[in-house]
Amino acid sequence: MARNPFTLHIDPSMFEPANPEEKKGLIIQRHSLSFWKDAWRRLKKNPTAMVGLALIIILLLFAFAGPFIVPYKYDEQIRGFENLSPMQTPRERADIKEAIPKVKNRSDEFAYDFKTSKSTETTEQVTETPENKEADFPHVLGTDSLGRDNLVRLMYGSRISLTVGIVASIIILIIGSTYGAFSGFIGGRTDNVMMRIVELLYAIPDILIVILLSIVLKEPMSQLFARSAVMSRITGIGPGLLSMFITFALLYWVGMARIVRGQVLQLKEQEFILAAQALGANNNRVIFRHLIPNCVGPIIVTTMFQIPSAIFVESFLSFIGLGISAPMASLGSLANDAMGGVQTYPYMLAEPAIMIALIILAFNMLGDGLRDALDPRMKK
Amino acid sequence: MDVNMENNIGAKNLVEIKDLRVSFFTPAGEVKAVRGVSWSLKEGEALGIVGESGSGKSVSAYALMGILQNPGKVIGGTVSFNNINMLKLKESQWRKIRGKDMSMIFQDPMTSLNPVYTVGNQIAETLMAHTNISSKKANNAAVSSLVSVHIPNPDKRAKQYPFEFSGGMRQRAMIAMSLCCEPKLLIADEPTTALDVTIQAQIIDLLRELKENTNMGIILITHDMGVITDICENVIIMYGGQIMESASVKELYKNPSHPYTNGLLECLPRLASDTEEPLKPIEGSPVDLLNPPPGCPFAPRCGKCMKVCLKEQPPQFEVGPEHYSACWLHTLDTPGKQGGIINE
Amino acid sequence: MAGFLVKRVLSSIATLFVIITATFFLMHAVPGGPFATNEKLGQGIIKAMEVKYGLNKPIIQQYGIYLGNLVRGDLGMSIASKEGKTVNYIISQKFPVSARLGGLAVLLALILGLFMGCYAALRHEKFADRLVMFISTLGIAVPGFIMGMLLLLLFGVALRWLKFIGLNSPSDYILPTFTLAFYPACFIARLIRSALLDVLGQDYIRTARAKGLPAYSILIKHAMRNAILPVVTYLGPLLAYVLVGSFVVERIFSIPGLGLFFVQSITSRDYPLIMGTTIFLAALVIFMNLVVDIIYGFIDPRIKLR
Repeated sequence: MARNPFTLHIDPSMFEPANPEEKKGLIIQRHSLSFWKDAWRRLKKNPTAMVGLALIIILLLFAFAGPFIVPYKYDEQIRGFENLSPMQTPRERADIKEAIPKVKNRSDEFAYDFKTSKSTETTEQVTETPENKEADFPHVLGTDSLGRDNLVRLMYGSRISLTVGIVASIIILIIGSTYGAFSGFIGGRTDNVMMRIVELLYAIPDILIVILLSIVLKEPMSQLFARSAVMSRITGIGPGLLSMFITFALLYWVGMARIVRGQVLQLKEQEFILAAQALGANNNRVIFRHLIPNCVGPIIVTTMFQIPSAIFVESFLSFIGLGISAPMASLGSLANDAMGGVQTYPYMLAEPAIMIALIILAFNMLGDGLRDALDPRMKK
Repeated sequence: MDVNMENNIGAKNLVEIKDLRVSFFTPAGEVKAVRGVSWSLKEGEALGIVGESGSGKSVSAYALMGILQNPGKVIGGTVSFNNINMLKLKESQWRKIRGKDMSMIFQDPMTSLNPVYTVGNQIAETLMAHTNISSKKANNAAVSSLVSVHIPNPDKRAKQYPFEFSGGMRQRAMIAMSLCCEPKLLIADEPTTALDVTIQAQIIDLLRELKENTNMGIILITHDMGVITDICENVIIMYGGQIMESASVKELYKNPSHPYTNGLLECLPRLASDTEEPLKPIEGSPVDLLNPPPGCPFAPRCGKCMKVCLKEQPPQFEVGPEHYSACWLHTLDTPGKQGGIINE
Repeated sequence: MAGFLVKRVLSSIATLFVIITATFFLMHAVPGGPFATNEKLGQGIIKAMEVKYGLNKPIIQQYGIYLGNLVRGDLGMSIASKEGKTVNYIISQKFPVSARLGGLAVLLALILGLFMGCYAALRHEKFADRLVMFISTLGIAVPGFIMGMLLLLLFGVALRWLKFIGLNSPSDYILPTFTLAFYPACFIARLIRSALLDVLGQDYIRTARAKGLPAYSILIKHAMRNAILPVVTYLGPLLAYVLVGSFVVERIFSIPGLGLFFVQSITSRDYPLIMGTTIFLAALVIFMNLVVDIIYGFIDPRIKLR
């Protein structure tokens, strides 16, 4: 490597001082992106997260738009069409039925069997009526033991699960972050006491208390809903759902509170908070205008992970017979109903099971991606 | 290019590094951390390697110890220790030398000791890995090695965990651990950086004392020019994975030749100085080793940068007795007259 | 250490007390209360319960009586069974079944998880690592009881390799044990993997290498000893998970354990049994958490001396 300088042939003009422009090209350039743009760019680059996001959109469409396409209702019991296997249409079933006994009775039997049909026309005559279109619509996933369409029930079940997941996470978000922010912000003895409460709740085996709460809330909630039609009109949810939300509101906010408090403690010491206080902002203003927006990354990530865990708890409770009650379906209760006939109708268990797995998987995939994108420090 | 190859009659070379190249193969590309570095160290000599972070000074020491972590790899050059070509050794052979004949202390004594074992245990473990010694004897030896680094209550201290030690005591324990097998070479990788100033002085005193009492070679890696003067005979200035200047400490202070060296010396606060001169920081940021510039790595930050500096790597010019400097400015000197030109 | 122990024991007792209190008042908030007369019940049982729990007395007094009985280890009487079996008797009959299954699951989860996690960490960024991460991501995302249903459908119904009703032969343990163990195994695998990767990058591992220690000594003595700490803290939650998991797994695989009985007692509104079982399980979880914390205190010197 030791070259003799005198054997090198270098143009003497090279030994003139270099100007700043020439040097500039060699100084490292790093352009900075805004936090959100950078996070979105990182999220877009993450294939798992994008698959998760796409899955969530598809699942949302399935659960909320699906029931408008399928012409059956979740509580509509079609007698005579119990336990149909997937892809059978009512017409096929009717054809089979009529083919076996007599041809003469076909119209009566059809009118009777085919749910609420008021028509007594023969099959040949009703080709253009809506009822007949329904008759042609296959029971894509078959029907259950009461003659209800499995696909629609699966859609409604997913709707319940997604609703529980999202609403519960929002409840947890509001309660948890408010509690955590206040505790961390006030500090001192108040913080100590508030965190003791959190620790206590943390140490309790939560599912046991959730089960107890569900048992306790079941009766009064049903009565509340039975007494006033207004209640269900306003809330649009059943007693099972409401008690589930109360449970989440009571128990599951502790994790969020801890995270927000940690963030607040970290941020509290930073100058801009001091500056806001010096400018005379009161505590509430400091918390809501300054602290919460600044710990939004971890909050979003935690909320994202709260969704699948809330869905898990809901399906768990419904599976052991608590939670959502008939005729409303939840994925857990669908699985519960299918356990009895698992030997004969295994697909009835497979449908909700796969659905729960898909929903939870999709949210976890997106959550993982968001965590990596928003806060690389949380990766562990 | 060898700093000390000529006139090395007397003591033999303990370490010889020739054209060492080390790269880290990261997902972003090949980070060329060390780019053709040569130097040597005689027995009983202390060599200082000075440079800012990312200059390749620690990486070359890790390569010498054979403890480069993935994805770091030696991709060229030779490393010989005690006349053994280390790069040809199997890992098991190298392991027997490591910790016994050459040992190392690190920057942060807080994290360099395993938190779940007692200090005595960790010292005894080194002894037991290299000698056939009973665990009882090893524990006794551990206690006496704590004595040799002036740790009070060594019996009690040996049974304590690292977190029960203060920073300075921990670094003493690290030194005791590295000395317990009486190595021929001690590499100290920024041994004082993480310590308080008063503790720094104590550790430097301890290192100087060790140097005087043993014939051990010492490599002191630091970014602090001041620390070098206390212990070392020779010094190497590194920047961007290359050697900028090398000389004896005296010669370097008398006649700093490379603009980077000058910059480093100007950063140094002088207590004795009565002028009100402000300290001059070196402008700009360190070189990007992922895409190192084709010319001199320091050129973009250099106040005396010429066009050639941006395009061609300068060779090592001999600017004084055993004093080399890699800077194109030296071609502007008339041949024969050496050094001095950029002395201010 | 002694201070740490005392503090930990006291907080465990406090937690248990809160749970007992919450359970008692929650169950009394149910319309009719937990001991509401039930035509299914024999006269003898009603009489016995009235005497025992002072059902005509004010609620605070009933609470005191209940606490007193608990201290003596009496969890009350089941009202669903005509013979008037005590909750203690039912637990003593049903719990061993669950405990055997749960114990096997904990063991399997630890072995599988540690093996997968260490292997992945040592093969970092290689195929084995990616495979383990893929499997464990799936395993964590898909709830255990869903996994159980899918396993049942695959191996029980579709392939007919394994039976899935009851625990009559050793092979009957395979599906439920695996179902219970899969999620914690994946969790442990990720835990030990990231801990080991973290530890392997620590300065003291570099020191150990610089000391010339053999590779196995670096891995076992220096790396694993530190990486195992988070797994130890997970043992408590692991146990709680297995207990709760047994509710659904026993239902899926028709295993006559405490979990299945608990779920059935919910349906049959056997309130004293629900209360008793809840308190029993909560006490178990809290006790195991305490044990784990004490173990942790012993293996991490930083806690021992605090």
